Amino acid sequence: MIEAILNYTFMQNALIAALLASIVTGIIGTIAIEKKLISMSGGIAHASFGGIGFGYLLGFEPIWGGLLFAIGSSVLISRISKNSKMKADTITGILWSFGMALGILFVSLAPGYMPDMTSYLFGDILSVSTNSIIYMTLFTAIIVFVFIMLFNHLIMYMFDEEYAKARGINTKLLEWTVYIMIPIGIMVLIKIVGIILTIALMTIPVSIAKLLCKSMKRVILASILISVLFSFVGLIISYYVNIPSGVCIILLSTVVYLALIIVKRRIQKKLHAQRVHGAKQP
Amino acid sequence: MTKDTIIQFHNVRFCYDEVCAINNVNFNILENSLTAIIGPNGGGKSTIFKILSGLLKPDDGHFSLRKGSTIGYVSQFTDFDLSFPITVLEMVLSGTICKKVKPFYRYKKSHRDKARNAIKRVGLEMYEDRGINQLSGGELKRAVIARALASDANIIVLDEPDSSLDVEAAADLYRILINLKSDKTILIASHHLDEVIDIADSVLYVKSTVTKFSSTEEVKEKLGGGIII
Repeated sequence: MIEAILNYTFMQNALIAALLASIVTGIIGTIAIEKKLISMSGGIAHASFGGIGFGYLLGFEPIWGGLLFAIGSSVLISRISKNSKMKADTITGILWSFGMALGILFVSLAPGYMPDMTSYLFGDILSVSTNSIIYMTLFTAIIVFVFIMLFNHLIMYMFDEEYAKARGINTKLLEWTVYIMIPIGIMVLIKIVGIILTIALMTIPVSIAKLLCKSMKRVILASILISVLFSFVGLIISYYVNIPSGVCIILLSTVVYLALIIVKRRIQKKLHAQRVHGAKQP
Repeated sequence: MTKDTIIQFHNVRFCYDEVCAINNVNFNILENSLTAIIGPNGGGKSTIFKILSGLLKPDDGHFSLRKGSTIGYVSQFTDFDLSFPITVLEMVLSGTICKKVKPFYRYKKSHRDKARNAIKRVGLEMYEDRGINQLSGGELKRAVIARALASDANIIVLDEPDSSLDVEAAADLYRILINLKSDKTILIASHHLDEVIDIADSVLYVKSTVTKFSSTEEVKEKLGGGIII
């Protein structure tokens, strides 16, 4: 494995991609969870498939088409749910399936053999090209920069939007920032875990971090570390056993999350029993 | 606006679509006083608070605050996510945040001092490093009041802060509010009539319009003591 990392570009790319995706997970996953935008993120990820297919049809880099569709759907969901009686959930559901259908249509209309779309659907960490690393680095840099730049205001917006409004803070600007950051982040994650499993990578590491930490900075840092760990282990499994990386990462992280919940509950029960027992002692 | 008047509502009306929550509302609030806002659910108490806090704009009429006044809004906790990873100090610190979204805005030592003073004023200095999910209901509400204090607001509006609190926690809260009156103007909406009218300097009864009572005796005489609205 170490020899492969040293000798093969695809392994080096895989490691860099895992690191970038983990940074994105820590930031975007936290925002999406705290602003309750997880199902919207799922809709955006699936809608981006329309853009990926569009790229194949017209012969340009599919990820740019995906990004265009992802940002477009994010803005649509935000605007329609704010300005009409249609709920965000409904419009998300429509864009979710519409994007997938459009993607399949475009891919089937593309000239030549129909390409294998498995890596876009389930992720393939071992097939990340150097070109992909360049745009993943660019997207991650944008997310990190914007997040650090607006950190304190974003935290306040995520925690208590009503209070932020009452304080006279421009919450619309922060909302736009979030609705643009999420699709950019999703395009980084798609390369690792694919469209279908993106929500899981956005959710699970952050949820594990929330079990362990009580402040936002720590949750973000812990989710990045947890995500790095899962991605590397997923990469190793994916290298030795021929299973898509996304599948390995998500199965592993789900099992760890469930195990941690059980362990935490047992510890809490034990502590509670000790307290009750202690209180009864004369 | 007279010298001691800090808030003035003049013929204010606000409607949600077809339904008017408040209509023809007129009242004055004096500086450094504690005013209880009472009335039935849906009577318009929260609407008045939201107008005061700038979350809603009146459809008709106008309201004015004395120049330089700012509002610290303590909302009901319906949208509050207790699983949010934030400590008491971090939450109170957010009350000092700059209104303008400035790039790379960071809290300074003066902000931290202000937040710690506010935490001390509500008696939570032992809990500043606790996560908000580790607080009891009463402690959490005190922490939210501390956030409003940290914002340097001279008017604090509290929307049913005593709902779902046990008697002891509610009594602690009222004690804190009485102490705050020395340098803040307090408006508190509540369903705990007996308790709030005892600590209030004046009472506004809100049921679409507003009736002002300037003494607790008058409220008890007109509305009856111990009634639940």
